[in-house]
Amino acid sequence: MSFAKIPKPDDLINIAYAPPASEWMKTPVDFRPGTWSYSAAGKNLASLDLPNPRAWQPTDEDWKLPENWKEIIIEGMRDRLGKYRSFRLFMDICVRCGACADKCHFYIGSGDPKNMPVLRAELLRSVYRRYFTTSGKRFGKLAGARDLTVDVLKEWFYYFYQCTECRRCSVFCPYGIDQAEITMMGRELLNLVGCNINWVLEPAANCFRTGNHLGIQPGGIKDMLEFMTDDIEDRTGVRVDVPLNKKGADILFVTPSADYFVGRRQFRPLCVPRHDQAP
Amino acid sequence: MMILLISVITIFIIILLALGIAMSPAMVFILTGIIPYVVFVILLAGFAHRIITWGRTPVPFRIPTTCGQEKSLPWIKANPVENPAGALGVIARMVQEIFLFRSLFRNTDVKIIGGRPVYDGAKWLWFFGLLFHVSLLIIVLRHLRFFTEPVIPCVGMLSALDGFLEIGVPALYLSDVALLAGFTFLFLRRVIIPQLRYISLFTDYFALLLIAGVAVTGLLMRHFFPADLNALKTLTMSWITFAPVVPEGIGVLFSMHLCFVFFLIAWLPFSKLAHAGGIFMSPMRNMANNNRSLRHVNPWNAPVKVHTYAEYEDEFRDKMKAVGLPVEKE
Ligand code: HEM
Ligand code: SF4
Ligand code: SF4
Repeated sequence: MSFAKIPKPDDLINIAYAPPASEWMKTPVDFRPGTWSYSAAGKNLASLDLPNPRAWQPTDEDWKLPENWKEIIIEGMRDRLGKYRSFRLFMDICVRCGACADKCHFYIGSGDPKNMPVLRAELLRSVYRRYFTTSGKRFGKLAGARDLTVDVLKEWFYYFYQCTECRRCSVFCPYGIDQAEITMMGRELLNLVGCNINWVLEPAANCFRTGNHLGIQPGGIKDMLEFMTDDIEDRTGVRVDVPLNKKGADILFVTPSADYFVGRRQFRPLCVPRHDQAP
Repeated sequence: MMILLISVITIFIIILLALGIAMSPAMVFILTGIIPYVVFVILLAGFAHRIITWGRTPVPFRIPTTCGQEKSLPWIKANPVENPAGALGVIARMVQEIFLFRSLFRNTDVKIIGGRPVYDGAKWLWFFGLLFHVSLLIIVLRHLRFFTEPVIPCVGMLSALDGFLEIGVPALYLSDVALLAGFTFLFLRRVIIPQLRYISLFTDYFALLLIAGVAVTGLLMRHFFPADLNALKTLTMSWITFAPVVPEGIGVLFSMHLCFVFFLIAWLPFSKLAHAGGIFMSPMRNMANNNRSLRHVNPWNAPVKVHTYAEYEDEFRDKMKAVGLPVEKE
């Protein structure tokens, strides 16, 4: 996550729930320090064969999108509207009753109206209306539609990565509208033009290459496991034999990743900004 | 606030249109002889189109929202409705959603009190939302008296029950009062609560105002400027026998009532009011949660690019050998 001064509890609980004076379509996203994650590094995109690997950060003016990014997103939307009923239905039937609004921890904790699940969905729904419904094509803003622009994409990035896909909103919605589904669609669309966060893609790329999300190489794994057996011996007096990479074993024992952290007495947060990426 | 103004203006345009229609016999002919059929076809075709589009779109994953303990081991108490394991549970769940607005009943609100978020129940939306819809349903059912001859007995009974307080002549229907109460709450809520005003679109105001327009003109015709019910019934019965008997002229209020109703019916399938059909299609509510008891396969599991052990070993062979890990290829 981008670094910010760590706020005091009193500041944190001082949440203003009143929406801003300017209407939401006219309120551009503000990448405040501490509220967004660094972009996925190009090497991680490349190692997972994902589109548009490059160096960029969300606070950059130019996100280095592909030439035809708009077309890619709209075609991606069309594709997904035909593949997932949840997506299509949830684009169509929300009545904006607001029952989901104050159920999201991101809204409760930030007071940012675009973190109300209903408005998070409208970020995408407004674009859906503009390109996929007759009323949106014809009446534009009056029908709740808006053009897809780079600013809209940036807003998506900010708010779709501020949803943990916990589905609490869906529990309270009278139609079960599940923001998690919409967030997934939003993130998939962002991925089509190479906009992901490193929190997601670095572990994924590491798993792909080394079989663990920290990117620990064979020697490191062996060290840690030996350290653990030493520890066990210290406490219990029993020396455990840890067979590694043994062909035809009957049992596969998977240690939680936290054990590796502790074993190494070393913490390696994934969010450390690299010198070439610091904002 | 701008869009609220535009929705009010749109309502006035419909009123003016209705006034114009009432003036001209030719327009009355169109309104009472042709439009009813057009509107009915739009409603059916529009709704069918909606349902078919949704219905044909696949649901590749089992994604019901679970609001209770899943069925698992016999000694763990499951919640068969909030986390249905089979069709029966799903039906019970859907019935509750549709007739009781179960999920809305869970509603809470949050306030920051003394430096802590405090959660409390908030049932008013549920209460007035349900009141609004139930009265809407009763009103629609009561209207069947215009389309059946002799009037189906249960419709007559419903009307009698609805008017049992016998306030005024003709008796005031409770459902009319309830609808207006529901409307007032939902509308004021939208206008007054800042967050709700912030998310509201033109259609949100317009849908409510349109329904209120229907209700108010109906009430005025019943209690203040009585319409000729015999002539009216002749007209409505002639519609369903496909031989419309077009009246010479119609009252201004009746013209408005019809214009609002026809607009509402024709717009319904294309607006957010399609939630009436959509609620039945929502995978979050109409699927059983049998994720763990049955195997489900994603129909379009993309060919996934995998990184094989051989590739892993190729990359790390030297390092593996250096720390004494067994390798397959030397
Ligand atoms: C199966 C039938 C239906 C069900 C289960 C249903 C359910 C709901 C629920 C749960 C809400 C949200 C709570 C609320 O705001 O009241 C809602 C809102 C609404 N419904 Fe329905 N509904 C149905 C049919 C209809 C029909 C046929 C109409 C109109 C012709 C209608 C008009 C509305 C309106 C205008 C709202 C929005 C209220 C607001 O602005 O806050 N509904 N519906
Ligand atoms: S609770 Fe459901 S219908 Fe109501 S605003 Fe939220 S998503 Fe829309
Ligand atoms: S699924 Fe996302 S939007 Fe919904 S409550 Fe959870 S974090 Fe908020």
